[in-house]
Amino acid sequence: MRVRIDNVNKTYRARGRELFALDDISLDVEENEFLTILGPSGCGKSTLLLLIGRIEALTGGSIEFEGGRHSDGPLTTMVWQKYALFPWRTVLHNIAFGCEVRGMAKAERIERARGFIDVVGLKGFEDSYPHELSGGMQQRVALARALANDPEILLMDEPLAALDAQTRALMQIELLRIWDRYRKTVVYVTHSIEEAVLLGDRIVVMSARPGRIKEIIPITLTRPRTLDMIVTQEFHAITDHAWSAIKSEVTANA
Amino acid sequence: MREFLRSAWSNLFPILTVLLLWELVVRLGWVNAFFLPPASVVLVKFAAMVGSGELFESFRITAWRMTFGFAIGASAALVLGLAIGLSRPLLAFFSPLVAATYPLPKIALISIFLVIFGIGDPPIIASVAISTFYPILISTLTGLRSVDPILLKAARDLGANRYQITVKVVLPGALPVIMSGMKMGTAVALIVVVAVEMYIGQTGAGHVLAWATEFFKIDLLYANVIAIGLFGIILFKLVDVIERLLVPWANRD
Repeated sequence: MRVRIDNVNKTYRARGRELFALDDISLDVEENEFLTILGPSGCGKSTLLLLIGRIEALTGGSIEFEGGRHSDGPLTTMVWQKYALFPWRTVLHNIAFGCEVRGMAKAERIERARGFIDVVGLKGFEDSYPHELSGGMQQRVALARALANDPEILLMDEPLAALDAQTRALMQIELLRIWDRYRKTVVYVTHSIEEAVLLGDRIVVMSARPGRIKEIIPITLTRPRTLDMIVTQEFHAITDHAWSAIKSEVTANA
Repeated sequence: MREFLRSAWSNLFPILTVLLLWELVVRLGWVNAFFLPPASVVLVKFAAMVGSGELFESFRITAWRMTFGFAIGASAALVLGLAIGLSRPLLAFFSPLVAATYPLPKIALISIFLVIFGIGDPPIIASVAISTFYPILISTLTGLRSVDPILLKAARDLGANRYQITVKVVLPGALPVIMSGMKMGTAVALIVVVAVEMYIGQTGAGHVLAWATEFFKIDLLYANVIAIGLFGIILFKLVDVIERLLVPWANRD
């Protein structure tokens, strides 16, 4: 499915003052696209994700979902930066949560959850509780939980931001491998330029206060992507481009 | 096994040291043996009470009153706590009532219970029930509000409806806090049952305390105090086991 985002505004009321989070955002997310949204903190990139996920209501404009459905899952499912796993559920039952509340039979949803445990490489941890897992493993659970929900569009809010550099690099590759397998439409928010370039088909660069789209950069790197690409000329050219687009925003706020 | 012996010894050693010091200060005449009999005398009395079955008998009665009172107070607190914690109108109605009655020391109600129920088990059970009711009610209300909002958002995003969010997220999320209220309630129940038995009981561990004091049975007094302490330890261990069964996910190190 495609997402048509038309003239979207979002304002918050805080202590009687209007706060412009997003100002006139128009953007199409194409079918099966991996779209990364890049911007300084406070630019409203996470807010945009919450609007697409219908977790928060928009103040103006519209967000439409167009085209045929491929799954009987929900339109969107979110992967949260802080994982948002249920501490009282084991890995297996965290992953099965979406199917459970949407009424899938028990045997079927457990079977399905087991399948996604394999996909994210957590075999042997089915019965562990989230607090027993490392950050990287918790984010794998969160990813498996979202995938098991079988949404049309996967929304990811800085899912790797809390991880250390090595784990993060590893998870980026894992994410690419899993995305290659399912080719779901992904909207991925990050503040890391390298990550935005390595993962995405296009980068939406946003400016801060109020959040506006500054530039949309197509990424011409071939797929499948690998970590080796980071040292190529082409990769550098794109990161330089993205950096120059975002630089004025970052320095203005620093 | 070796590990177990070591940890058992490291717990036992300080206790044995204190008992030995106790024995010494009395035997050396540093403390009047009338007010503090030697540890050995108290332990012999304790053993005799165990042997004769009188210790078991008084604690059986105390444990029964406590359990009965706790069950009434805890279930009332849980039912009311869940009802008003999950419904805004009920919360608005009951909040001022809870706030107004909470600070009252529940022990002050003994006389009223005595007037209502007369002498016997009911006023003791009622005192325990009302004393356990408040900590569990407050913890239930707190627990229901303590659930991380991001988990509610995540559950809704994954497709849960309001009822499912309540049952599958809010309730299990509240359980650790409710459990700590139960622990507090258990501690309060033990204090109250002993205190009320001392005051109006005609049987039970608290009554034995009051009786021993009145007739200067000092060895009985100390043996009974130790027995109440041991009873408390067993009780709290039991609650820990229940907590581990009910809240296996809670992170404790």
